[in-house]
Amino acid sequence: MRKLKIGLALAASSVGVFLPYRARVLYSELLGWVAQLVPPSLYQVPDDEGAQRD
Amino acid sequence: MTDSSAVALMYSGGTDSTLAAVKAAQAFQQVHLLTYRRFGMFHLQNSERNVKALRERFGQERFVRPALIPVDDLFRHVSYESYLRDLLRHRLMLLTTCGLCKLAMHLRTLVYCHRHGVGCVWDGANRNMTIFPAQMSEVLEMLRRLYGLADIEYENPVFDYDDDQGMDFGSALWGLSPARGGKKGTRGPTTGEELHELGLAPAPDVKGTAYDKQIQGRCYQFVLFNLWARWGYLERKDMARYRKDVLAYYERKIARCERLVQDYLRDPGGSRLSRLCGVS
Repeated sequence: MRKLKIGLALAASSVGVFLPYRARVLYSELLGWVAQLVPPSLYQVPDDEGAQRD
Repeated sequence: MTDSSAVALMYSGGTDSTLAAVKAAQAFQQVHLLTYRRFGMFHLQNSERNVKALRERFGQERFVRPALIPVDDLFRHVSYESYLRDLLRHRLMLLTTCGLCKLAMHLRTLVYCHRHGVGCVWDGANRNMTIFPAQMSEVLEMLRRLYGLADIEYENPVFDYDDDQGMDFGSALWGLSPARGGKKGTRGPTTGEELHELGLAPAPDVKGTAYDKQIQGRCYQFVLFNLWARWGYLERKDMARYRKDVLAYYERKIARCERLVQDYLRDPGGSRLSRLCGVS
């Protein structure tokens, strides 16, 4: 699951980083709406700091 | 000539900046409440709700409330100048949209203060929002240096307040439904609690509630930022490394902003910064 999250995030971010201003805003809006369809088990952070995971 | 009896407050309408406005009204004769707009921000008129409450509490004349100030051109410039060079050096750090947006707002605030003779800037930055670049103490020091170029003081009156969400902010649904609760009894007062005691909030903990959404605008651009920072970065590296990389990027960004400000101070009417602010 962790690898899937990282892969999804890096794929989505790699697209986003090359978009111009308005397209990136709309892309982020789209991600926001998609996020609402994601089951909670996928996005919950397991610890406080996100640290020491390596 | 700056007016030491006035302060400009970067005001979203949320609990942190509203408590900062309360403190500003107690410390200054005049408080300029500045709210910014740009493409992708919605329902910004929600911030009027607490402006009305503040005016009822401290008097109509205490607050100067300009129309929403556009920062599209500034934000585009701050985000995309030297893009290829920054991309090669800092990679996906360029997606820290919230920090870049705040930096654009700071530049616009500096120009506003310079044009209106206001000598002090406050905001609602809080130390618990650790993931956000513009809320990191080191970045705030860099911003103090930036404002100092124009002899403007910059302070963060609610920086040390506690926050039940803290690092958890944005962890649920990438920030669309902030995580709540969990740390009561082991911490100091929060901005929400103090506003509640003053009768300016319906409950002590309103962050993430429906009420919270009714008092400020909304912007989904932190979704991409959160997705990258939480899943793409902090799942692989630790928070200390994240801070180090953020600071390296913002050191360079703010150094370039300093050059913009220096040019503006030399020629306020004809500088690039005044054009980006739409005041040339």
